[in-house]
Amino acid sequence: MTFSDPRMLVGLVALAIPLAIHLLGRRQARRVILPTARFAEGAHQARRGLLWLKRAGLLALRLAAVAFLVVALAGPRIGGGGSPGEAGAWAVCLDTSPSMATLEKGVSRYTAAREAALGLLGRLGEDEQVLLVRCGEKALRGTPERLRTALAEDVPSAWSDEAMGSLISRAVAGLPCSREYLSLQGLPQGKARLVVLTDATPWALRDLGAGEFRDAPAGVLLVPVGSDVANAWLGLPRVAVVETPEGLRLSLEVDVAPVATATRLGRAESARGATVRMALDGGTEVRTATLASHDSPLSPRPSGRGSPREPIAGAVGDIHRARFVAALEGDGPWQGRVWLDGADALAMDNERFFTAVAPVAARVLVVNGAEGAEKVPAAVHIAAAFAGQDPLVPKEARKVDAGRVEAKDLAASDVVFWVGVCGPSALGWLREYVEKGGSLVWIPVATATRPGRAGASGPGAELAGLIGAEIGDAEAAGDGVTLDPGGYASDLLGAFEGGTAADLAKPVFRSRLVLAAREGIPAVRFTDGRPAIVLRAFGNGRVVAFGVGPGEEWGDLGARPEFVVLMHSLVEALAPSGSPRQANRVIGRSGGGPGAPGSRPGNFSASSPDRGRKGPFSVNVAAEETADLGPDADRLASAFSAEGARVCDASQVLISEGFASESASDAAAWFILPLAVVVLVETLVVSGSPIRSQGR
Amino acid sequence: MVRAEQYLRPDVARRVTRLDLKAKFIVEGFLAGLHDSPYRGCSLEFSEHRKYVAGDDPRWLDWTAWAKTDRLFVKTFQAETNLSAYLLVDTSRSMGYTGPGGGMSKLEYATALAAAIGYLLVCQHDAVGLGVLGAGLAKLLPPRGSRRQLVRVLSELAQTTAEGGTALADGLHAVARRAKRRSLMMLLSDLVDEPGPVLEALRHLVFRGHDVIVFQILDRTERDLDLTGPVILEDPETGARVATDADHIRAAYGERIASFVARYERGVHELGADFVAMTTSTPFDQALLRFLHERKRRF
Repeated sequence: MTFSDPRMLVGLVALAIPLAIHLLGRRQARRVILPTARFAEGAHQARRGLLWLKRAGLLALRLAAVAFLVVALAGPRIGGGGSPGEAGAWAVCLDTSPSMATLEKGVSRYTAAREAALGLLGRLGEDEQVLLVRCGEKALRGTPERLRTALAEDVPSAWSDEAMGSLISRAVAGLPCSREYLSLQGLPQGKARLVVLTDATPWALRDLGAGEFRDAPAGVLLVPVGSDVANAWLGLPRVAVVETPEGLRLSLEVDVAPVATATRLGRAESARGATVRMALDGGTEVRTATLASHDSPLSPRPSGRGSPREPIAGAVGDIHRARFVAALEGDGPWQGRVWLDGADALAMDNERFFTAVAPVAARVLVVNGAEGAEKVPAAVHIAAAFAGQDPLVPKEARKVDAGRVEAKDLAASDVVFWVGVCGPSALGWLREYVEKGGSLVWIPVATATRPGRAGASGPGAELAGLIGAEIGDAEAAGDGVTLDPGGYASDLLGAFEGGTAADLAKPVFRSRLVLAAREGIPAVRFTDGRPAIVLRAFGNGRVVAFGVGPGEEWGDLGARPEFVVLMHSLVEALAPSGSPRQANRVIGRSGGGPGAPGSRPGNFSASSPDRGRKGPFSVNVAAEETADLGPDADRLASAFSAEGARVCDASQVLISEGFASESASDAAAWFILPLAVVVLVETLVVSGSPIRSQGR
Repeated sequence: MVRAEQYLRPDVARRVTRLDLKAKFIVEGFLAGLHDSPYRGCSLEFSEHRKYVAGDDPRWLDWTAWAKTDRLFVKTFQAETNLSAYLLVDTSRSMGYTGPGGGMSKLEYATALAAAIGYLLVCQHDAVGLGVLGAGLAKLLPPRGSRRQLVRVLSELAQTTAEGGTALADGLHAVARRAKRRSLMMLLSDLVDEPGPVLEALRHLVFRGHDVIVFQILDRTERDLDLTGPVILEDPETGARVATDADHIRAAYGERIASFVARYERGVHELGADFVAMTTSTPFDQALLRFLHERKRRF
C-alpha cells in the first residue's frame, strides 16, 4: 500500500491521546464510603475479567479510530506496485536538458518532473526494482525509498545535452527485466515499466526515431511536463548583403536573451554554452556562433551616463548578440534561417527565417507623400527593402512634405517610389520624369488616397491619368483574396517566374483600392480578377500602380519576405541596366519603423540600440507560418509501440490499466468505513454505561 | 407553609431538628392523611367518664366533675390497650451512612421513624420502650405508656450516634432475654450483618412470644449503586476497600443486594414476622401504615 500524502501519517502521534485518556482515567477513581461495599467486592470479582476486556477493548477501539482516520487522510492507494513475490521492475527517465530549467508559474519543469517522479516512487512497494536515469548521469539502481531519498536531495548542478533517445536507450538496456528474463522467471509480460518525464522539446527528441523502442520490454508511461513557453528568446536577425572585392557577403546579426530559467542555476546558465546557428537554404554549411557568458555579453553595454539600454520585449537579463558572415553565390535573393541551439530551444520564437537581397543596381528614391501617421510605416517599409550597408538617410531626416521634393531629386533617380498623394507641382514633375524615361511606382495610402476618375478634375484625377487607371475608393477584400499566380507573366515579376519559395500567392489582404485599368494593363490580378498592380508605359518610362500598400491596413504583404523580393524585382525590371549602384535615399520623415527590432516579423528598418543609426533590416516569415516547434508528446510516443505507450498528465502519475497488476486505487474509503464502525461500537459500549455527573 | 402531610417526606421532616416535634409532625401528617382513622386526635386528654369503682386509680378521679355533680367519676381515654412495643434501633457505624445525594442518614431516618411510632403509640395509650443496639444491647428502656416515657424515649433517640461495629444478633438476644412482657418488637436497622445470626436472634424473640416487625433501612446508593465511573468503595466498619468501575458492576451488585434483602425477607416471613424494606427516601407513612396494620392484626 502506498500513500498519496504520506506526510499525513505523522498524525499517528495522535495515538498517544487515547493512551493518555486510558492511563489518566484509571488514576481518577474516587473514594466512596459504602457500608455495603462487601457486595461490590463480590460483583467486582465476578466481572473483573470483563472489566479488563471492556477497558482494553475501548482502548483498542479508540486507537483503531485514530489510526483509521490518519491513514484515510494520508490517501492510501492499493495496487499498482504488484504483490510480494510478483514485484515489478521500473525504469524512470528524468530529462535534465537545459529547457527543463524553464520556469512556469514559479516552478521549473525539472521540479515538476521530479515531484512527479517522487510521487511515483512513493507509490511503489519496497520489493520493486527501480532504475533512475537522468541525462548525462550514471544510472542509479535501488529500492523505491532509497531512490526517492536520493532524488529528493540531489539537484543537477548542470544541465545536460544528452538527448532523450540516448537516455531511453540506457534505461531500456538497464531495465532489470528483459523479455527473456520475464519468461524464464515465469512472470507475466508487462511487469516492467518505463516512465519518461520530459518536456519533449524538438531538441530533446532530436535523436528519437519513430518506432525506435517498439520492442522495449516494458509498458511505457510518458509524462510531458511544461508548456510551449520558450526559455530563451531569439530576436529577428538583421541581414544585409555587402558587396566586397571578393564578392557578395551575407552579414547577419541576431540578439539572444534568456527569458526564464531555474533560480538555482541562474538565468544566464541556460544561455551559456548555447549556440546560434545560421544556414542558407540550398547550402550545406551551417555556421555557428557561440554566445559568451553573461558577464561579458557580446552586445556592447551602454556607455556613459544617461544612456538608456533599449529594452527588448520579453527579454530578461543581458542581451547576447551573434554575428555571421557568409559568402553568397548568385544574384539572390537568398533565404535561410537562424536558430538557437544548445539551450534546448523550442517553439517558433527560437527559430527565425530571413531573406537576403543584394543591393539593387539602381538609384531608388522613396518619397513619403502621405499624410498623417500612416505615411511613416509605408515609406519605411519600402525603403527598408532597399537597405544597404550604407546609411539610408542623412542624419537629419527631412520632414514629410512631398512639396520638398525637387525636380533634381527625381532626375537623379532610376526608380521613384511615391507613397500616397501627389500635389499638382509634384505631378507635373513626375509626368516629365516618366516621359524622359524614368520609372514611377505609386503606392497608395488608404486614408489619404483620393479617387481619381476619368473626366474628373483634381490631383486624384491627374494621378489617375498618369497611372492609366481610375482610382476608386478603398474596399474590403474578400475572404481568401490573394494574388493570382497566373498573372506572373509580366517582367515586373521576373523574380517569381517559374514559382519560387517566396510565392506571391501567399499574402492575405484585408482591403484594397479599386483600380480600373484604362491606359494601363494589369500586371498582377487578385484571385477575383480585380487588378492588383497596373503597369503603364508613358513616354519613355513606365508607371506601376499598386492597389494595395505594405501597411497592415491592407494586409500582410509588407510583412512577408515576398515583399522585398517584389520590390527588388520591380526595380530590376524598371531600372535601366548598367547603372552604378548607389546608396538609396529616403526623403521624408523617417521613424523607428513599425516597432523596435524583434517586436514582430516583417520588413522594417532597424536602428542600433546604441548609435541610433539605421541599420540593415530583416525579413522574416510570419510567426504562424513557422513549423510547429512546440513540445511534441506524440513524437515521443511514436518511438514506442502504439499499444504500449500512454501519455499521462504530470500532475497525477497513474498506473496504466494496461499494466499487469491492478491500477492503484484510492483506498481511503476502505478506512472510512471501519472508522465509522469503530465509532459506532464505541458509542454503544460507552452508552451502555451511562455517564452521569461526576458529583455523585 | 408546609402542610402536615408533607412531613411524611424525609426531606421535609429533616428540617425539623427537635425529634419530639419531628415525631409530632410526622404523626399528625400521617393522621391527617387517614380517611377512616380510629386514631383521631392523638391526645392524652380523656374522652369520657365512668363511675368510680373500688380499685380504680385515684389519680384519674375527675374532681371537677365531683364538684359539679357531687359524684365520683374516673376519666377514661379513647382507647385503652395493652399494646407494649419496643423500638429497637440499630446504632452501628453503618447506620451513620448518608448517600452522595445528601438527605437523612440511616440513623436519622430510623430515629425519626422510631420517634414517630413512639409518639403514635403513646397517643394510643400504648406502652413504648426503646432498645439501642450497637455492639450488643447498649440501652434498654422497658415499655411505659406515659407521656414521660415518650420524653425519655425521644431523649435517648436524640442522643444516639452511629458508632461501633455491628452485632445485631447479640443485641437482639439480649432483648429477648430481658423483655418480660409480650411485646411488639420493631427493629429498625440496615441489617448489614450476617443474616444467619440475626435471623436466629429474631427467632429467639419470636420464640419468646413477641411479635416482630423488621424495618430494613438502606440508602438508595446502597441499594442501587448509583455511582459512575471508577470508584474505590470503602466499608466504614471494616475498612475494606474495593477498587472497581461502578458502571461495570452495577448490575451484578444489584443482584447481590437484592438477594441479600430477599434472604432476610424470606427468613423473617418464615418466622411469621413482618418485613419492610425501605430506603431513607421512603415516606414515613409507609412504615407507619405497616405498624398500624400489625397493631390492628394483633388487637
